[in-house]
Amino acid sequence: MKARDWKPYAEDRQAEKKRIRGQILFVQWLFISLFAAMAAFICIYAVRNRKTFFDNSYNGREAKLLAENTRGKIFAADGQVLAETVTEADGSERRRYPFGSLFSHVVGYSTKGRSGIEKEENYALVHSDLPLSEKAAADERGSKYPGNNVFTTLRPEIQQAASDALGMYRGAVIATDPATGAILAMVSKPDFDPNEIDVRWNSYLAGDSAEGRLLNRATQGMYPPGSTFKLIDAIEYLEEHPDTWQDYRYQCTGTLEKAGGAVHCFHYEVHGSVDLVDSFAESCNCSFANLGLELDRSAYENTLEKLMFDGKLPFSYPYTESHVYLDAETPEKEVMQMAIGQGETSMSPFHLHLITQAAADGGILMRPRLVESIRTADGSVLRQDMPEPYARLMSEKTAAELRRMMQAVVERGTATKLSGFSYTAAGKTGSAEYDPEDESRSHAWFTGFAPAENPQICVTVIIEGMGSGGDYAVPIARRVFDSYFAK
Amino acid sequence: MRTYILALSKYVITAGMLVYTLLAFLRLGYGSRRGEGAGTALRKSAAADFCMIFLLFLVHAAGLLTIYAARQKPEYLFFWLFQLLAFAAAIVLYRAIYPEGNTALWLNVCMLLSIGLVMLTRLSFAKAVRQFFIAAAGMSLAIAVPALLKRFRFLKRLTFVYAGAGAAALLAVLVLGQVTQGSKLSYSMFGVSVQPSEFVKILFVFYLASAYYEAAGLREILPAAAVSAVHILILAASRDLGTAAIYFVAYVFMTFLASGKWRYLFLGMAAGGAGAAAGFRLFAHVRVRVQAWLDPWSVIDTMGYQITQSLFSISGGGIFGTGLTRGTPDKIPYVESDFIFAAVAEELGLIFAVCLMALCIAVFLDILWVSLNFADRFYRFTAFGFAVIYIFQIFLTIGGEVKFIPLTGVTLPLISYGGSSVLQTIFMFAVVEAIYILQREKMRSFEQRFEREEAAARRAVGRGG
Repeated sequence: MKARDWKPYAEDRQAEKKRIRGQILFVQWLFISLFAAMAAFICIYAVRNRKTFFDNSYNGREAKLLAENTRGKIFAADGQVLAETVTEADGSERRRYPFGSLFSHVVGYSTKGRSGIEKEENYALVHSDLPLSEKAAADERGSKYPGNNVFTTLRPEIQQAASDALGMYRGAVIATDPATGAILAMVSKPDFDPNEIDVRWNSYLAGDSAEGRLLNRATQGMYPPGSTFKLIDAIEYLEEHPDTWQDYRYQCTGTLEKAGGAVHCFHYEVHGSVDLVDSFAESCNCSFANLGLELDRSAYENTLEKLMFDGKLPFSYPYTESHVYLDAETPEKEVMQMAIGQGETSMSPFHLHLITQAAADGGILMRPRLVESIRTADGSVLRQDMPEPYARLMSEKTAAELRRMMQAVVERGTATKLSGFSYTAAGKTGSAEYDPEDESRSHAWFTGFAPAENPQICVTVIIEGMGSGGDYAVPIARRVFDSYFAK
Repeated sequence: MRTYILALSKYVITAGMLVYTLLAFLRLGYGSRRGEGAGTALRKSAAADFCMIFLLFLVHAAGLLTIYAARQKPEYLFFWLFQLLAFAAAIVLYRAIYPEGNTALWLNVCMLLSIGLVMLTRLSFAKAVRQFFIAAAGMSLAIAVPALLKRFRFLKRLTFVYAGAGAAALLAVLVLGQVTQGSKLSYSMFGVSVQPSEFVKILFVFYLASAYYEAAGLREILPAAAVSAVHILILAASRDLGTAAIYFVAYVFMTFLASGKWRYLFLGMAAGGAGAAAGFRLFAHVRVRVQAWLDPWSVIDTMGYQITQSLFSISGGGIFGTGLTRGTPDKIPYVESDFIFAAVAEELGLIFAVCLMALCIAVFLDILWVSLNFADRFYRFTAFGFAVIYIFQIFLTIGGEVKFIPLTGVTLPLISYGGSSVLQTIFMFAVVEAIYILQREKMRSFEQRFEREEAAARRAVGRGG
């Protein structure tokens, strides 16, 4: 018998000892698991909400960082500065936007709250990830650390062309590269000068409610899509009839009255006998209202969902979700209206643009992006945003047919103003009525791409209340295409 | 140079803390292993102790020298040296006086204290100095506790003295106390503000241990329930809800352990739930706290301000923290006392913060295992009670700071600023050490007696043969 086997309390306490051991182990594991849960909770919660918390206006962290770092710069794709912080002679800092109001919505502002890239990339801009040696050198000099720089995909010459073309009109222009999703230009009018946001804030907020100067119409504007919605009808029809769509025929008399509803072609034009391509090229409302009634509703509902109606877009900047109303119960007269993009349907220009962009890229939507990379002030890359496919919105075959139909619009339809240039364009126009009192007033739409055979740039234009897409939106798109192909 | 220190010291601190915490867990087993096989165990534990002491001073020095680098005032350098000497003295003296003591537990206490002092030095030099002197005084007194406890055999018979003194002290605060943040917590004696509910915690655990050590049937449990209810109601009336919850949990868990009946645990938990629900219904200040927990963002200007600032801090620091002096913990109201964990998490990082939680668990296990191994019921219950109130208080404060549970405003023992809190905790650990030493000595004397008897028997056999 060895010393350790000797049991000093060996009486009848063995049972109690065993019981107490069980109880103590229970309490031990109870608190260990509580603490494990608490530790997991805090780590996940803190890391997951890092950026949201950082951007909260009650968080003092940014002020602390800006005391040691200078807010980083924002660059265009060609290296021109879109936003930078300059230090005045008296040591105060000022955010400077060399292009004035040109990039107002997309680059945004950083005082009076934040918007655009200034808001989305705020976290990167106020941090400085310079190597320590550089920071030590800055300390020696007694200067602040330069913040990280944001390199965007924006192209000033295209942005300028779009802005000039839009002129004084209210509306928006979007241009992207369909193969990479890079946003080349995004203009919204009326605009504002971010250099003067502090002094003119109240006047920017003022103005009539329709003005919405601070609103980015490209992503947040909500418009009836009008005839551009025929793109979506066509996609559904092509997916439903992949081999027999060529057999579609309709006799247009300028008016279609059915199920208690009536649809007219633009200016009561009579298109006569049309097939699908003719109907699309000439934007025949009657034919598409008729086609809309033929479509399989549940299949169409699925397609609308796949095309991101009433859902999220792959974009982290503020945007408004598009709405369309269709289910098995929808009355036929409303389906007719929906098919021609009138009635309850509303879309943002950006959403429509993404559908065109997918059609231009073989049916696959490349995730739209504004930022190419984020780099430290001495140029080392912190984040590189690679082109990334988001989803397939339509089959490759549908996309190819749709492209040909959009080409017909330019060759012999409502967008002939785009024909006869060094590049071949394709697209779809729209004239969306928005005032039930006055049918002559309409928003002018165009969405399309060029070159038609091998799309390199997609452009979407909307002008508020100006009239027909073919007359007003197409020339603006043309100037954007011109600026792109002028290089 | 300064730039490099400020940017890199946080990695040294994180690494030091990580290894320290791992060692603290490895060391757990050896601290309470007795008897044979001690040769290797002792050698290993001595090596572990050596590493832990080294890491303690490394983390401490890295922390305070970083603050010195940032502030560049000589008093920070001297303060570091004073602390260094004080910790070295505490560690060396303790080992010299109590070779049988649980050195791992004592080291962990020093580690937690040093983390607290580093953080307080960063937040407020004056408060850190005050805390340092109080802690130093507490540690000096604590070293005497094991020697005294051995002689105080009457401790287990003072049942009603504990209850009466405790309730009286709490009542005095309720009647005479000063209001801080809507709660009556303290009163001034001779110009020093004392928070009795901290010290009464110890009396309360002593009370329950002495009430239960002979038997824990209904005849003991019901009077104890009445006494506990008096304590808890006085605290609730003072609006010190966190402390009230700690007393309640002490009662439930000690009753559970003493009676051996699981139903008391569940009954207690149910009663706690009912009490919380009643409090929610009856008192607006309870509802406000629950709301500030569920959705602090909607009341970010008022009741949610503290907790949201705490969340900003914790999340702003990230994995390795912002580095000392580079965060914004100063924006959290009462950061030194109620929100020190958020400050630690922000400036020293999430890894460090999780290690800190783990270290608290290691300390908890150390106390709990003292109670597991000691056969004397009074001391077993006392150690168990201390373990439970220690870990539950940490759960309340950290859980509240990270929005895991509603905020109750209790301190993080040994780390938060607060003289009463730090003295109470040091005293509690001193008692635990005393119990541990008593246990070791008893064990040793039994072993010696056994060896003597065995030797005698062998001699007898030898003679017989």
